[in-house]
Amino acid sequence: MKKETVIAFAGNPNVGKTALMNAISGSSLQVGNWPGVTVEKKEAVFVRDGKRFRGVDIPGIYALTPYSLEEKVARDFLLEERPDMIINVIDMTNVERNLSLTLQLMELGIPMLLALNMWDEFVHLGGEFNISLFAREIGLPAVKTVARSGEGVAELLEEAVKLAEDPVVPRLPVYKHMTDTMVDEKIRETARILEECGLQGRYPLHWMSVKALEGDAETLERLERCRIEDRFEPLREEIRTYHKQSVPDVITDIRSGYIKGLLRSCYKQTGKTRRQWTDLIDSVVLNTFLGIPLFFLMMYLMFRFTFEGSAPFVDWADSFFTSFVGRYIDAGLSAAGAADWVRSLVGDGIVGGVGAVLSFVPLMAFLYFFLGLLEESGYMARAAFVMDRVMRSVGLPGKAFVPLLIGFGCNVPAIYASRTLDNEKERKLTALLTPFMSCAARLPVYALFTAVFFKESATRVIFGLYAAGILVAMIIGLLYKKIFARGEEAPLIMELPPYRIPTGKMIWNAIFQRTKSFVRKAGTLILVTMVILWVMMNLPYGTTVDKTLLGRGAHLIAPLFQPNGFGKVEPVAALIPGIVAKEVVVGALGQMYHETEEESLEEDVPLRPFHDLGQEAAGLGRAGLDSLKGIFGVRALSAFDVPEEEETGLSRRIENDFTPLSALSYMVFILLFVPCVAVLAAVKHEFGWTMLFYVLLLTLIVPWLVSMAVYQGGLLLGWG
Amino acid sequence: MADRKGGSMAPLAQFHKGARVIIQDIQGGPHFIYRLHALGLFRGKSIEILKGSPGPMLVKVGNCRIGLGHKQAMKIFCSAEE
Repeated sequence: MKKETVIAFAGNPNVGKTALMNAISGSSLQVGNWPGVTVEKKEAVFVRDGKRFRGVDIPGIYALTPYSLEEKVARDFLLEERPDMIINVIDMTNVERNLSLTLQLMELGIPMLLALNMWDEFVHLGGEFNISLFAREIGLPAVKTVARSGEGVAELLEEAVKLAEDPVVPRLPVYKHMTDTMVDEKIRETARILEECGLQGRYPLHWMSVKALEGDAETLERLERCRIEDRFEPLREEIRTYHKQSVPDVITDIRSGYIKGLLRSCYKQTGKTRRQWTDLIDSVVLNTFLGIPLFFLMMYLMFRFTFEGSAPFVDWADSFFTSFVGRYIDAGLSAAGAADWVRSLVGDGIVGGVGAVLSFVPLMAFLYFFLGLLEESGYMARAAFVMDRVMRSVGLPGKAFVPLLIGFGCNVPAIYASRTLDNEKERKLTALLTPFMSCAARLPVYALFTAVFFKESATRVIFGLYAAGILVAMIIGLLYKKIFARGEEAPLIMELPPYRIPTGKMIWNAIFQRTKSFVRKAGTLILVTMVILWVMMNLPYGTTVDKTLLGRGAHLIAPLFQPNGFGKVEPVAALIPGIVAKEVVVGALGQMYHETEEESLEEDVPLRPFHDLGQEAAGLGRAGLDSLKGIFGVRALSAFDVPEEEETGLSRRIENDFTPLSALSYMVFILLFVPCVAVLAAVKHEFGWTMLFYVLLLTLIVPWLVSMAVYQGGLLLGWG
Repeated sequence: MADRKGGSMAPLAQFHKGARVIIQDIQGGPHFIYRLHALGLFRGKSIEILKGSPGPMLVKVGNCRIGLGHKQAMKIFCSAEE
């Protein structure tokens, strides 16, 4: 006997599959990606009556003809991996349409069980349903459930155990049009053709026959090597002439006719369908005049919540790691007599790296909370709808606005937010454009240079840089659309789910699972890169900065930047540490110009573990208060506060080495240059190595070209 | 154009908010038609228009709300429900 029974949770999108999985599996839910694609895969193992089950939440599908990557993943899983059982989750408030998928799933020849979900809403809307009659008619066990409250879950599991012990394959539907079985005969004939080719056992023949007759491109592709395509056409022709409709039309007709007949006997809609909340809210939210302003308001709230809310925690986590954990580890190493370079590697490389990863955790958690709220409530689909026309002009769908906007705060969560897009290609393009959104960490660099060269017009210059980032992203988006996606603009056809109040559990899962996955997957890469960068910046150990690997490398490549106006060793060398975090460029410039900041006095403060721990705890408490103040206070957004720059040795050196024009060119370069380690790790985590390569390529070439254009253009205009 | 009953037929995009219409014909590639079928939009279906042009449309079929771009709504031919 097999060790575990694999159950696929299948159904239309937004029918509560995930909520049902949550209710069944409790905390054992694992979130990951389907291999090779950016589609989220949720799995959970649970034991019931001594039987081990593995639940797999497959992406929501409307039909078994894939339209998006999600649907292809779902169909491939059902077809190729053949789960032992399907739990088909049905949204009872949409039972008619949901059953159309059920009929298709029945043809796969996999034991199946129906969860009649959202039963409470269905009853609330005045629905009546005879479950036992329905189950008998359709020939499948069916259980009413309310996934959000967990109602009916125990009964559902009971049925699942029964079905696992006695796997019954659903009976095949008969494709009857009224009383005539002509189509059914043609399907059986097709099935015989497929059988001749030796396909039985590999694929569900009945299902495949329907698809072959419909002319489904992917099915025909699978059958290509059998060379039987020309045997289908006469059968299709017969159906077409007889019914005077295309085959897919006839099949849809038959299915919907069957469902109507089935429901007539066991389903009743008593009482009037009342005007629903959703329609009322939609009449405001989707209003031609109010829709876009409301969307912007929502985005402002999201931005404020995510960045203002998390900033105090990010600061706390950062200082906790560098000045608390780091200090104690350093003291320990020093007491153990560790060499200087070991202390530096551990302190700057490893502890710094772990600290960097963990300081993103509050940011991710706040973002996932808000995104979870937007998605679970149903607003995200509206955002896509409202922004569709605007964003489409740059080749992106409406939803892409959300991740790009988040990018202005921080690119890392922006990469993850691109997950909300529906189509893989659009998701990748969005991720590719995200690094051009000027994140908050780039501000200190702008501040340093504008304070020296553009005192009067600092705000305008910085605003211009933000705009330049958007402009570059738009141009690349348009180029992509013209070159790679010519004429294949994805049409706007989308379901807008009804508004629902998200449950705390759903939101908590969205935050916890995804944040955990970030730390585990992206964390490792960040750490490794931090160590590599430490090696570059510190070896050979003990020499001055310009003698290190970094300094020597900068010597080599500096001439490349002659046309950009900053072809000197110092500014070029300072770019590389910028990969650790963009704001590090400022410190690195200082080091390169030997204007070391005053050493912090921490070293002399004696270690007092209890006192220090208390201080950290108090700091965490203060962070909580500051976070609330940040979210609900009346202050303007601090993510766009330009830090004050005082005249220092560094600014005098910069004044000597740069001209206003080359400073501008340098800022443009920083704006567009390779994003920080954390962003790169996020790209790798979400999209894999190939995408990481493209991001690197784009963020190396584009900044060089654009900043050169700025510098050379400026020279032409006589600004040099 | 005329539908089977002889009534007049027009693209969905030309109907206004609040109208109830019946789908008579869908034009376009197989991919497009499959998708609409899967979402419950096919010949003979009665739909209610929740939001009309300008911009994308929102229609209600059964208890589902489906958003459609203008281009897409131009390919779905409907007649007013009596």
